[in-house]
Amino acid sequence: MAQKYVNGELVNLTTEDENQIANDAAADAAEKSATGYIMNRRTGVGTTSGYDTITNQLDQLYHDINAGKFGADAKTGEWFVGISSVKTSFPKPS
Amino acid sequence: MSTLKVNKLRDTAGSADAITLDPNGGAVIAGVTTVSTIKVGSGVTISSDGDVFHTGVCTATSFVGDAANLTKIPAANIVGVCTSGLTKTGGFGALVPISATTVSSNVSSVTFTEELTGAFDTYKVYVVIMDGVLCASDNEDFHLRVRHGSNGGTLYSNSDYLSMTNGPSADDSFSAADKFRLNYNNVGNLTVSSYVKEDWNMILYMHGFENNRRFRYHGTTTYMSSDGNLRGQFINGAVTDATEVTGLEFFFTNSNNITAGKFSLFGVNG
Repeated sequence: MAQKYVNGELVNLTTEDENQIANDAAADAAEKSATGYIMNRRTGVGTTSGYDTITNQLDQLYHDINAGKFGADAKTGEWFVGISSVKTSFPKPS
Repeated sequence: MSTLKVNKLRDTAGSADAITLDPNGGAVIAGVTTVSTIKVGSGVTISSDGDVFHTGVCTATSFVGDAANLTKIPAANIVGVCTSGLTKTGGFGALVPISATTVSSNVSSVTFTEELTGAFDTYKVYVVIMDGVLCASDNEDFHLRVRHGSNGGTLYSNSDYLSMTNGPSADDSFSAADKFRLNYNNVGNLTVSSYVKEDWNMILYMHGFENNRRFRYHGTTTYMSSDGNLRGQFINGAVTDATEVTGLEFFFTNSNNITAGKFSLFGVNG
């Protein structure tokens, strides 16, 4: 029989406890079925990673623009020019 | 052996009339019940039976009098229960231990209730420290529910729980839930032989246990998620309810899932 600690003493679960756990499990299953993919995308699950950090995502975007994947005009945008300015000020050591 | 019986002995040479017993003579004063002054030096025994012998130490069955000048009493020698008049200042911590639970085999939850002395109407702030908490299965979320009613007998499970996590790539809130979520990333449980690589640790400060206040908590966590990455968030939350909180229940998502760890409850005195 499953047990729990109450004030340092090991006691058996009551019927109320077991009902609550069953309700929790059902609610969690329903929630994960409906919206679980949102948290999974954010946090990842197990060894499968979720979204990268915002910093890394923006860095990836910068490199895509710099590689011309969004066209030449994208390099004249306010965001790209601002990031380029910071990178120029603090260049990566060669 | 001869016996000399006199009424008084006085030194006729000294102004104080003091008699000096030759310390090298092994003089013993026996049967004396009244002495006006005793200077305690090395090798003096004052005891009921005379067989206790300490250098410069007075030994007695009991001492009576003003202890204002006693110093250097070792803490371990201060025993007994003080029922009044003792104020905890200087050297006493403000965290008052109330209860600690060490889990060594699978349980569904760890609960503290008002049955414990000092919980939850003695202090304004309470702290729970969790150390080395392990979940039996991987990818768990760690939760807290508050209880109310006599001895925490009633589970408060309405959808009035609000919780937040803040940290690198972990800024999120969880509202309209029936329990607090204390982690953002799923908690891992990787253990290789005796090497525990992933466990859950947390310090939680809690306020508003009394009636007509909203229970609130804030704290910090450090753990490893099931993908093996270091995680840790600042967490906080509240229940939008004014009922007095009389119990705290900690548990992972799946039942019977706390397999190890220590849960310690403290009151904040001050």
